[in-house]
Amino acid sequence: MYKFLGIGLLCLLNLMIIPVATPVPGVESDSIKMYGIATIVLKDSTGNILLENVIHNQVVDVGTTFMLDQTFGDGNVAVADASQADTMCVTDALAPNGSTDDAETAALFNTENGLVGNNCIGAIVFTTAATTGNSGTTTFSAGTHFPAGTVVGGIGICGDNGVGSPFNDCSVAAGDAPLLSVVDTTNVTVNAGESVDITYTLTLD
Amino acid sequence: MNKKQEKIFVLVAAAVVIVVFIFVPWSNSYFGLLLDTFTGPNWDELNPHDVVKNVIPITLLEKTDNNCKMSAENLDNVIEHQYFIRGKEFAQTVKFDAKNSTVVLPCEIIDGEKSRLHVWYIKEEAPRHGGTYKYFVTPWNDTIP
Repeated sequence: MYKFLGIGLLCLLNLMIIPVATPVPGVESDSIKMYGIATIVLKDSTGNILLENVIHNQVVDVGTTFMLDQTFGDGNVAVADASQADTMCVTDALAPNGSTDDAETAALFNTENGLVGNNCIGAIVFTTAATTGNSGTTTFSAGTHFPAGTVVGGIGICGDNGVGSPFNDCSVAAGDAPLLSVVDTTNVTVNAGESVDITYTLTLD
Repeated sequence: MNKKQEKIFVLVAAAVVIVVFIFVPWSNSYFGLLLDTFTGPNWDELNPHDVVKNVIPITLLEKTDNNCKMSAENLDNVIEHQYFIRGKEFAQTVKFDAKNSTVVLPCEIIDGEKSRLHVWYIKEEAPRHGGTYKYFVTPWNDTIP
């Protein structure tokens, strides 16, 4: 009787010390050290909140490479501050490819987007702290940045082209920041008089 | 092994289990995984990268016994998102009527005519609890997403 109890305890001990899986380099772990989060708030014409969505992003490969190039002395010339990632563009793609595809680029993001004219706001002054960079709240309004009734399906963080805001599409110019990340937000239909407030935070910890 | 040796064996094994339970991080073990299935995720300790949070306003339309029918505009977009793999299950749980944008919730969780319905879920690729969701209602004046 005692013997079986003891064997049962040893089995329990095994269950407690054997890890579920050995972490594999490059595979997501419990302690992700870099991630971006976007908050999107849909408001009606009187400022009432119709939907809030807090959702993670996908930092695409060209964005990661850009950050590494900017950080390390690798022979590449760092871009000037005005050409850093300081732009937020909304897209009407309901499930933007870049949210799941690391190979997404600004050109692909632009092609997938059907909004024309003013879907981007640039020259955003990010606030950096010990471990985060935060865009602050950027407001996109129906009638100004896209037609009323547009369904906004996602966000791209990228570079501008030195033009005044608002403007069309992420910059694809050499020397400008590439597409950094893409967020597939909960879809929001922005009707006349309505707006969406978007905040983006990238955390490196 | 005589009776006395068996008792010592059990006591030592029990002592080791207790020591491991207290001092060794076992949350990533099979035991931790087993326990997770009963306890569910600790939402406060999840990596923000793994959790999607949505909030919509809901307004009381009709009260029948303990069932409160609430308007739930924009909930369809929350449910249909590609990351919300158990969205349909959630829709059935809250009796979501997509045509009229309404849900039916227990009245005891509703606070006032207008409230905020929070729908949180863990993305499928998360190391733990992928696909798990929860929903709760807070007063309208609570502005924390």
